[in-house]
Amino acid sequence: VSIAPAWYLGLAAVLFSTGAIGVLIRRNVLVMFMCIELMLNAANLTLVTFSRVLGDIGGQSLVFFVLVVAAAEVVVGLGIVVAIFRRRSTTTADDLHGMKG
Amino acid sequence: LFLFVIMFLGVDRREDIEREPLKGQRPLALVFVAVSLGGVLALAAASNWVTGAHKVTGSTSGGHTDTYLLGRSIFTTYLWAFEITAALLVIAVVGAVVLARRPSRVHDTGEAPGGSPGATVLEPGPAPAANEPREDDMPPDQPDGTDPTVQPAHVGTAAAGVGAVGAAGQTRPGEERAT
Repeated sequence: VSIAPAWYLGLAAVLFSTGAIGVLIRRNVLVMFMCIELMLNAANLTLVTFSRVLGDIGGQSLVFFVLVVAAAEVVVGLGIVVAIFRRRSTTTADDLHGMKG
Repeated sequence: LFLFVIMFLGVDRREDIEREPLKGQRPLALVFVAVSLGGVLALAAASNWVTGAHKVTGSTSGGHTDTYLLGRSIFTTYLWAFEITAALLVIAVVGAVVLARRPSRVHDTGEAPGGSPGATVLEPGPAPAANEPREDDMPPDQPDGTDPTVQPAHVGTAAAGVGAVGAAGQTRPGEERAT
């Protein structure tokens, strides 16, 4: 059973919108991180779709690199979140309005 | 990893959804996302695709499997990016370890008796003029005693002002005044 590529693209658009809404209106840093991951994966889905449609392997290679960079970003970001929580005992982005210590 | 950190930080505290520091940010965000999504979908539905040349780097219809092609593409065409990615991963892991590490006890000699009580206080500290000349004898990566689970032993035995730092590390009473 072959699914039309437009469905993949539509799903990617919906996922990206969900992630964008989450980043824009949620306050918890962890939820914002997950929404960023959602947007990255939507972009990955688009890349894989076009790679399959156009018959080019470069899109899938790019997905590979995107996954690796996303993993690195999540590792560093969660480390920062844990460090902030250890000092401030909060994970809300609005409470982090000071650049001093 | 996300689940681990969520469990670690606790999800039981509820996000107060009523407090809204930026007025009108929420409906504006919804409108913005809806407009962009609708624009993209309308563009996709109304226009025809002009995508570039096919099969510029590696064709998927060459009789090989996808895995073979992906491996060959990564290790030939994108080899330099692959190596940079490996370096990036190593740097990220080392950085995460450094960030997540508990502050060590090497600051014991320089922290408590050296500076005056105001030197290690960040927010409830005195005026910046009194704080300024002591900044050079502090180590730059000083954790200023705000981790109450690691350093209560020597903080409690130190001067009274430094003990106040350990007490203020959790609640930060001078937060609103300092910012």
